Amino acid sequence: MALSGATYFRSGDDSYRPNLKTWAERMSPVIGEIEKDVVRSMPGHPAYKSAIGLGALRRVLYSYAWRNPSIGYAQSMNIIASVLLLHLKEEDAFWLLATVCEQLLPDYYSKTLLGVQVDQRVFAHLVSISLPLVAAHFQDIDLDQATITIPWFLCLYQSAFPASVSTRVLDCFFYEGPRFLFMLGLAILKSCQGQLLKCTNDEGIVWTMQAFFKRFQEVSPTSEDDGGGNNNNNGNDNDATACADEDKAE
Amino acid sequence: MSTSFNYDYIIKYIIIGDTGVGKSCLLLQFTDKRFQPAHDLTIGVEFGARFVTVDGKQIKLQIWDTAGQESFRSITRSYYRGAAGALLVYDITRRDTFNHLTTWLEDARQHANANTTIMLIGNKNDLENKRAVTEAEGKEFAERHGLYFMETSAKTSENVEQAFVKTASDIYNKIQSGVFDVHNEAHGIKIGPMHSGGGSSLPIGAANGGGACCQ
Repeated sequence: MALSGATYFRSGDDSYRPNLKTWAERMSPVIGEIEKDVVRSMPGHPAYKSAIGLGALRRVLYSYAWRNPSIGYAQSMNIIASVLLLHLKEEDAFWLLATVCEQLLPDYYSKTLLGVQVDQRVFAHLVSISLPLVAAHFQDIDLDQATITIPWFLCLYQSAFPASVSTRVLDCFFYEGPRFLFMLGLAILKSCQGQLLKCTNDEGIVWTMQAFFKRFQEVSPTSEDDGGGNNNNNGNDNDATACADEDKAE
Repeated sequence: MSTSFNYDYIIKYIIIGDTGVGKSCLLLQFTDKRFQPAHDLTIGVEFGARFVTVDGKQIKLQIWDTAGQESFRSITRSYYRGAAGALLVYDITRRDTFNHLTTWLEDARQHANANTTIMLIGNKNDLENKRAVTEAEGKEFAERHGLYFMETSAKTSENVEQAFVKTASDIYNKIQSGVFDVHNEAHGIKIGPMHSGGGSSLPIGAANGGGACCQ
């Protein structure tokens, strides 16, 4: 909450509960969309198999749609909210979601997803500078890189990595700010570069990336500590950090 | 898994339609022959692949499954290009998903190849008691717009196989008659290593996609 700036953003605003009450009396097409997605946000997690977890997720999303009708609800906010709720109280999760959508990544979740689309162009440019072989290869096989990377950016990598890694990604994101999304993206592509260059079509790229994220499932440690500093949990992580540092230097 | 598999053609599909109509479930039923009621939400685009046999030819279907929410339209539009087949899906229990078909079709007509085969699918026909769109309405819409039509159930798997295979055989006929140029990638078809190597002994759906294909 502190790193992301959410604590200051909220600063004594206690509108969450009263807003929810008002909201309960209103109807909107957004409700239907949220309702459909609440049950498919993190269907495998025990917290979202119970009415308590689903209720909290529903309230956070309703409440956000009510707070900011210009965004309302965009798919992928449900993924972020469902992760935040595992770590924070409901009201705090709401404020952190608001901080992400309005302060950290403005326009990412707007009706046209303009912000994330602009950032995909920026990211593609970064890839062409840092990993020219990969960029050229994507072009050769006629793959729009955004196919792979839009979900990474929109969901803050939360649906890509397993929980133990994705929580650390969140920490780094709140610490570094939006640029961390770019750093991590470059690091991931760099660590897959060898395999990616061997792929002869877009399908191969998709499977390669899936296999990459799956590897973390196998090696991810069971420890839940995320309060700490920089102790890297595994080699891949080290690799990613090192690569990200290089990219910063560019 | 690797591409030691031989096939004559690769055909690209795209699945479109409103959010929650069962696009991902149809894909999963087709590629993995299973139904997962609590399915993860599709953000952006997902991918699946499977082999089918049409007229003795091994055909690999590469299927792009898109997010249905309105905000994602501008992103998913780029996938129409280069798709030889499109499955346009609505939910027979939700009238609004049927009413939105016109805008989906406009999108497809505008961004896809003019020869793209479009199959209209009324999904969830296992939920007869909740039906909000009759089969005749679906059929009428399809006829009016020159689409193929089927009602399916990703849950019971009814017609799922048929929908994909019927589309494939129509595209195959278009290849044979020269409507699709297999040397033009924008037509969504590529020639496989087996092409002109005669028929295949593999039965329909003998192999599922899902492995790395680039080794």
